[in-house]
Amino acid sequence: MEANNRELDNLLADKSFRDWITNQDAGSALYWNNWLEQDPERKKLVEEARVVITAFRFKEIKISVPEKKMLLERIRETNGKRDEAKEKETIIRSISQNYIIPQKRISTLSYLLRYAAILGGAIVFALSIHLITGGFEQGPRVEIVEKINKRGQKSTIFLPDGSVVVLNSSSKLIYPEEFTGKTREVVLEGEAFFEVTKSAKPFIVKSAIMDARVLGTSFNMKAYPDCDESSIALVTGKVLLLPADDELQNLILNPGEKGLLEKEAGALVKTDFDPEQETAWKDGVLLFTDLPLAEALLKMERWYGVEFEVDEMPGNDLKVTGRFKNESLDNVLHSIGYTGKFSHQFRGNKVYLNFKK
Amino acid sequence: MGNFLNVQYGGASPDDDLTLWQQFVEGSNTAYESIYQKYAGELYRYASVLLADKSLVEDVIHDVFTDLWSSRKKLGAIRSVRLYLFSSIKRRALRKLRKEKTFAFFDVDYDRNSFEVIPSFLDELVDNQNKEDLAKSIRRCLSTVSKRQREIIYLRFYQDMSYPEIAQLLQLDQKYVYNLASKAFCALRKILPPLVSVSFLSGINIV
Repeated sequence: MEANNRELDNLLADKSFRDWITNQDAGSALYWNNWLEQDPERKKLVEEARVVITAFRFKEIKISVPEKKMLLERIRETNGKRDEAKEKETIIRSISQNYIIPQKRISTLSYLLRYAAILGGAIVFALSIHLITGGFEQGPRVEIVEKINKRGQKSTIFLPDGSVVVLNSSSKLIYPEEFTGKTREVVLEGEAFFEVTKSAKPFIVKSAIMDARVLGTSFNMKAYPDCDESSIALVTGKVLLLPADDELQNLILNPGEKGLLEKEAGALVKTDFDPEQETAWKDGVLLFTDLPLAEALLKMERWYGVEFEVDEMPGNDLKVTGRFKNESLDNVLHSIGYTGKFSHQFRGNKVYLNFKK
Repeated sequence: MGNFLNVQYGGASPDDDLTLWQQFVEGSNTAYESIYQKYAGELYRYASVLLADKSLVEDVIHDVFTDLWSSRKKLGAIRSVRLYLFSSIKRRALRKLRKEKTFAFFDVDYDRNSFEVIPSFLDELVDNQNKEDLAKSIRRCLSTVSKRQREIIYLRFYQDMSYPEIAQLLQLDQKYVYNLASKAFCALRKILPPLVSVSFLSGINIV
């Protein structure tokens, strides 16, 4: 926040100041009048504060003491009734359990998970298939397609419902040949841009830490396995975000909004985004905006499918800014290397960057 | 800039809260009611700017607290009792808004036809025509401030929340919240020059 606003904000955050300005507190008037006299500049600040506080008069209703008591009574009553009902339920249930031996149904999902540790990778795939065939529904056996993009590859995929997915490099999309079942589910690892056709069947993109549920919409989703953060930037439509292991959180995105989920913090938050930044990649535009060199190199590794070997990373924080449309890696490195003062050399699948003079 | 007298009103130490919460989760009705006594007031105020209708506000508080009681065994550790309660109120209020289609949600208290929007100290100074023009320009500035920004200002100055708390409650990125608040202040600062010039012309001291 810029300095002027911060000053204003700090001042208004002080309750005693607010009370003085709204003439509700004679007590601290002495202090504040004194404070005001100390610096003539402060007059303007006080006026601005007064405008803020009077411009926003919120229609608050305060609860009176008797009302508060009555509300508590009402709450006690409801709680009492519910506790009673629950007690009855437990009694009935324990009675019926004595007479009926319930059939334990192990869901296929937990069955798979039990063997996941033993079978490792193969089971992850099977799990993915399981996720796709609607989870717990019975449906006809459907062919599963797995599209993998290696580093440097980009491809466009047409899903059976007409939706179009542009899959970025180092990414994987798993989807069925037909969307039977009540939902259209796909699994994403990496980054893709989705244009989902409208249908009564919700479209769900599942990834390691977050699911996105959409009706008809276009958005960019980033869920790289080696990244601690997953995000979705919504261009059109509406999306419901559901973290994979947290039932209490969910977030609805509107166009222009971006949802971020950090694996560690576990908090799902909303922010805005620059459309060019988020989706430039799908139009073949390699975009860097003030990106630290290390991250820029990682981005280029994925984009071009190469591996960088650096003799010595420069000590200064070099930031890269540039926009390259359908440019060769050689050209891009020439450009960046000119300002970044490094030269490059191609040797097989690796690119050597020379910073030392 | 100088030192401010920073007095903290209300809100006991968060440690008391966590102890109370722990006891409540373990089944203590006394702890549960202590939480109610402590927070019902400010939750009611918050719900009232979201909903305006008194009976809806009471319903929301009732629903939040009764759900809290019935699901106490499923509740885990939380970082802030206050934020948890505020966020529950917000969720319920939004649900009610959608159902009842009421429009109180962060309406600013000013009547379109009156001059109330002008700070009262100018009441005696300005003639009717100037008042009308002034009211118009103020309204124009205020209309650029979104409901979300108003909510941020409300939470900051009427509920004494910190920006990290506001960000957590509204599920927004903290930097984004700062930006929104900053923009709101800028919009309001624009109102000031016409006010100041008016008072200058009438030769009256504002302060």
